[in-house]
Amino acid sequence: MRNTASSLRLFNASLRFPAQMGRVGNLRIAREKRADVGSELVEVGPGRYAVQALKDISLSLVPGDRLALIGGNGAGKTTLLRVLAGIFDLDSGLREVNGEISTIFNMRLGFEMAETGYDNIMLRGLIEGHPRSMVEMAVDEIADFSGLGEYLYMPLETYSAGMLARLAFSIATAWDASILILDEWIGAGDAGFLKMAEERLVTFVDKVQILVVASHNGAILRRFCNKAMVLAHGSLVYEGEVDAAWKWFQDHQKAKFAD
Amino acid sequence: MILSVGVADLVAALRRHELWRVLALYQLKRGNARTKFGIAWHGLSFFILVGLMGFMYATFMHRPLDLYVPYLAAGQLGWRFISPMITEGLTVITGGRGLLTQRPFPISFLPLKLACYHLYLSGLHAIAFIAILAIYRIIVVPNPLLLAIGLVIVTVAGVGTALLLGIASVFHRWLQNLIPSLMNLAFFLTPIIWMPNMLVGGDANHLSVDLTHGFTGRSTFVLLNPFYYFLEVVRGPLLGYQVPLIFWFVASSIAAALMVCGLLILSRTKPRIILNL
Repeated sequence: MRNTASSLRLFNASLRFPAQMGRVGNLRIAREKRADVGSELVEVGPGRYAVQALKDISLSLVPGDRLALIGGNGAGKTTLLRVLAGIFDLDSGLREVNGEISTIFNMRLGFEMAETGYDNIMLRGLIEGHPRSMVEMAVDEIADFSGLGEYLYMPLETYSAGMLARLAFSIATAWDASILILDEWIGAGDAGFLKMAEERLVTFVDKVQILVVASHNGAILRRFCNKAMVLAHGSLVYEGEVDAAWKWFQDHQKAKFAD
Repeated sequence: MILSVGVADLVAALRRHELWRVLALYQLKRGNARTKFGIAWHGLSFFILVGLMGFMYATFMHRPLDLYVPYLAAGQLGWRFISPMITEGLTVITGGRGLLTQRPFPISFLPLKLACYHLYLSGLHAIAFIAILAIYRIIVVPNPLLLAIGLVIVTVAGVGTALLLGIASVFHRWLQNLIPSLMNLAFFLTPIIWMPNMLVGGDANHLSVDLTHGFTGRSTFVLLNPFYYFLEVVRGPLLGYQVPLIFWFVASSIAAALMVCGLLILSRTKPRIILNL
């Protein structure tokens, strides 16, 4: 799998989230106040609304691509990441994937606080979809890097927030992926660990063929990405170099506040 | 084929047995975390409740202890698998939001995990069952082969039901309020604490419903209850009494139908489930 070229493509991808009945209140009256944030609200029936989270998004990623997703709150970044990861199916359009996708949305996903660090390494490995035997091979490396030592024999409820973050980070970056999808750049721990973590993350990211990362941190995006897309209200509004896209996004944000 | 999406999902979920087995075990431990006896409490509470209930109800209803106590304990054992597969099945998909929205997961993973958890729990109840019989000095001779078949039937029915109701309640949340209260009613309508022949009027020492007098209003009431068939295919082999062959046919047919319905609703709604969680 590692040797074959990965790819990740979307053709005219659209997706709507149904709004639960009874929660939309007097939306019809309030509709004159158009929101700066969020995606378009569409009326799909009498008194029934849906959030048009993504509208006609097309993209094509090949090995070497490092895509930055830029956009304000509710622009559709997270939804797009989840579509790329295969969590949400599309209403219309196509998704095409070659390669193994690894996602880091919530580093603490599935942690069992009453179980030991070692048990949680196994648990998280299984959640990632690796067989037990493969997780067993990686356990020592994860344990070493986390620096948690004897604490790995203790239940997670005895850990501090920073220690939890160390363990989560060590697990999340343990297995190579061919396509990596990140919602916000990740990092963990105190000053000493933060430096180690960054080195590990850079090596980890360098090994992947395709990277997609959504972030509000322009410096991070400029450092690690080589192409960018700006989303607004669920649509793709700008595509190009990271620097140019970031500048375009900043200018538009400013223009909005100047109005 | 109309079932292909559902079947593919179920197969993908079965492949991840290493994970749902671990998660089921942690769920079992979580229930009694920080208690002295840990998971043994699941068995202990069954032992205390059913052990005392057996004595009380046998006295109230003038039943011989050696007939009534194993009957009640085996019935409770079966019901405590069947009932939560329905009541907890209703929330198994909506409760899996955290997992399903974080990474691609087969939907049937969650019902399988639920069934695995309740099989583990039933194992602890079974130990308590043996302990109750030992206290009362009662000997039963189970039929292990038939018991295994019975367990497969109720497990298939349970997974199918959890899938069906779990998905249905994603779109119709009121089911989560309605069905649990109906299940309380079903407990009393099903021969668990009472014996079918007390109602039907047949041989009181015969544990399965006595049909030698043909169908009457009362025997029809017992026979129209689907839960009765599932209970019988577990309770019969556990206590070693003969369950009419027709019961096996009815139970396995309903189980197959439930599984097919579960996979059908999954095939039809799969893309919309996660969006509605």
